[in-house]
Amino acid sequence: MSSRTLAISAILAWVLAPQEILGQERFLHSVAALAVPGASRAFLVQPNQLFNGEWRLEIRLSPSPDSATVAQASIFFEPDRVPVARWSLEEDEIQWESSVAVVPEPAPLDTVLIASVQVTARNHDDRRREVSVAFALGLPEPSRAFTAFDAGHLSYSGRPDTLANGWAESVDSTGGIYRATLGPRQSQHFRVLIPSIPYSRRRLTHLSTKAHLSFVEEARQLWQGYWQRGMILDLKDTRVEAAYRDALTVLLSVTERRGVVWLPIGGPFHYRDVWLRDGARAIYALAVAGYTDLSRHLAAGFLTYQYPPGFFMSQRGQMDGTGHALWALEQSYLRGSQPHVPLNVLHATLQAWRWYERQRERGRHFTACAPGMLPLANPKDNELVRGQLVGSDFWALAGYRAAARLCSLSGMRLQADSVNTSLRGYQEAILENLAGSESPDVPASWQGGGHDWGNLNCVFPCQALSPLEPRVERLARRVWAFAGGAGLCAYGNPDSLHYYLGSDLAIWALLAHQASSADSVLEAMLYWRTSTGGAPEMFSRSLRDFGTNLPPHATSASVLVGYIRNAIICDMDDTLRLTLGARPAWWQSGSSVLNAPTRWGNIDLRFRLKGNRASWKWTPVPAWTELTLPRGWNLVSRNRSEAPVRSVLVAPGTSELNLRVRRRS
Amino acid sequence: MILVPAMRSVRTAVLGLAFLPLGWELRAAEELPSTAPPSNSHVQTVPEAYWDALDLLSDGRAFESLALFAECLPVMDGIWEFHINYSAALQQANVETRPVHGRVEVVMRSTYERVWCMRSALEHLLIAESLAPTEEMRALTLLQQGALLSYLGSPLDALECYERAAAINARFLEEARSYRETLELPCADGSPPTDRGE
Repeated sequence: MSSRTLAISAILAWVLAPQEILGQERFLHSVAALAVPGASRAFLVQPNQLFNGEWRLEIRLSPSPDSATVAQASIFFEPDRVPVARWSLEEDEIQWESSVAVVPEPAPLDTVLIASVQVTARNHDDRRREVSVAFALGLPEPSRAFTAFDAGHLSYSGRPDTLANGWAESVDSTGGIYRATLGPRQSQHFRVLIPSIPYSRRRLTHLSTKAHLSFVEEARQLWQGYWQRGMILDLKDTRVEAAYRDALTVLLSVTERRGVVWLPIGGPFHYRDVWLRDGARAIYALAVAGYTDLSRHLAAGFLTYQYPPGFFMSQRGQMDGTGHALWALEQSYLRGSQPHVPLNVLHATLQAWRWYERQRERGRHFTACAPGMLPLANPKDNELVRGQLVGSDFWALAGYRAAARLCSLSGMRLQADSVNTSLRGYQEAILENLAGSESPDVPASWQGGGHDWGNLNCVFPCQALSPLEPRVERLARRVWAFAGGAGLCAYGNPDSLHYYLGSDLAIWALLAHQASSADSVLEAMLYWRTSTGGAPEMFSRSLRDFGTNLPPHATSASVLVGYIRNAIICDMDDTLRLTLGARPAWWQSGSSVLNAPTRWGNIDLRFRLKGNRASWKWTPVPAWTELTLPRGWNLVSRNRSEAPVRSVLVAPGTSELNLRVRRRS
Repeated sequence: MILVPAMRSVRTAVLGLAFLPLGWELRAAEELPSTAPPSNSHVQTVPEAYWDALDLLSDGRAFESLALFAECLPVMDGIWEFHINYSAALQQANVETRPVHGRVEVVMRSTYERVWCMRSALEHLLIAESLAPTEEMRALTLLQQGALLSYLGSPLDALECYERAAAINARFLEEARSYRETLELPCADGSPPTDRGE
């Protein structure tokens, strides 16, 4: 296909794509991230601006729309969700279309990213028009949201054979400058290349011979290659599928490679660092989305966060890191077609478990502390309280369970038994402390203070409490009521919406067969995303503003992927649960999920509601399987009972089921 | 078998002890030894790089000193003071900052490097404990371990170090007792604001 044909088809697709696929900007300002897996920097794109963490590119147009119009322009990705940023502006019969495509250099320089920036001017006027585009390079303001870790170490010398901050065909002292005269209905492209770090001037000049559309196509091939390696989702629901793909793009983008070590980072910009809690979520999401190898590499990277006594910690005072790390190791190593646990993972896991046991034992000697729980912590974040944090104990429990499962799978039965025995004792101690708590639901700390955080993980992922435990429902009702209803939770004040804080309550709602509440959370997660599909961590609902806490956030992407996967295939314990939260639209058209990694290997699933028959067909597994009926439908029973039957349980090895169902009255 | 040449002050040689309190104040600072004790030195000469490393460390350039400490490691591996000072450098580097385009940024790239530093700092203190030439030095090393573990947020591991130090030398009983008391304090709302990314 020629580049001209490609250009026409891309423009046509963009113009014809429905808004729900393109995305709609929900926030005050539009930002986009252009990044590549494993690289050390990313590009922040704002209308007419690009920033790589070290220097910025400002695009100055003439004739120029006013600054308010520019600030409010929305950035979109390609209709097939390939992360190529586009935005459009118009002023005085001149339409400005901008496009930024980012690709890595070939290995071993693949941590260097090249942004190809193209601005197209279209003259809709009947007369000739003078236009100009200045691509101005400059240092960022001190008030910027982030700085690249290595910024300032390399500088532009100005000599032709050395490093450059950009390439343009025509330059002045500030950067690229282009002027043109457009005849009626004529258009012209103007272009610059911006590397992610100061880069070889000669190489940039060479790359400039490649058309912008070739960069776009290279980016498309790169991302389609990544997407095809994972689970294949066909729900006949373009909005959910697009959101899932956008989230995957974020998750793959927020990985960094350090030699042989891969690390999950919290975000491409100001959160370009590792938090065990965010990384664990990303590892889980990638594991359930079919990126088994990558998730294992990332989880193995966590081993570098273990201290000599046995605990894992990324930020001081955050004791839940150990549980996060163990859980992430379990999620990645026990899933997929070839579960295998390396010996160093087992050793690290058992060392952490022994550390936990020592802490709990020593803690019994403190009269002011909840017995059998972890000691006081001061995370200076999240719960924002100095106390014994309930979430730390929940995550410890998840860590115990992970250790037991990892040992069990590796044939270390004695160790697995020991861990399981302590796990049962720990769980009982948690229930006793909860029973003695003054809280009607599940408190953030055993002493009663603090913001809700780790306590919200009680059912999923930590499995500390049963989904049917009344305290959990009261907890969900309380935190949802604070935010105004089931959906995103609020942190601190009701206007401060937090994207992922309460997402685990949605999984609880699925498990407790409260599908409407769960679906409200999904709907909120789908809604509160940028026009390029990234979701922030926190934002003001009334102002629709995330301030300098720039999207996308890795955990926001993780919870979206995790929810969609669990709504269709959930393997959190020894039961395989199918179609737990499948939406009516997914049932009606017939949906499929292929190559989904589970604890019992990779499986395929197809499900459909046709007439009054609900059908499932899936790869058999050696586990009991619970099939959830379409929402609002009931099983046709011989005694015509109206008692709602929401799910059926089938024996291990079953691979197909057809059920007669009828609408619930 | 001389570790500390006469022209170098003893204060410099045990520099690490001055860097103890990352989030924890050593109240008995005046009780620290005013002179370095005879060392269990295993080297004939001290590499020049070691003195350069100490100069950088005392100059607030801990991050730059790390390469020099690493260079000295093969020949100074058996020396208590070396591990104390290397540990101090690793801890200081963790919080060091530099100006970048009008803003102050941490020198370390991410927690991957910071955790490596703190973990190595603790490992050097564990080695130092085994190399301590006197019981007094061992107790001081344990206090350092306690301070580091307390800073990281593993209070019961820290308490164990303080209590072991107190068991060696009754001078440190008060340290251990007061630290234990802090762990009995009730939960306090209104902790400092969020500091993600620290």
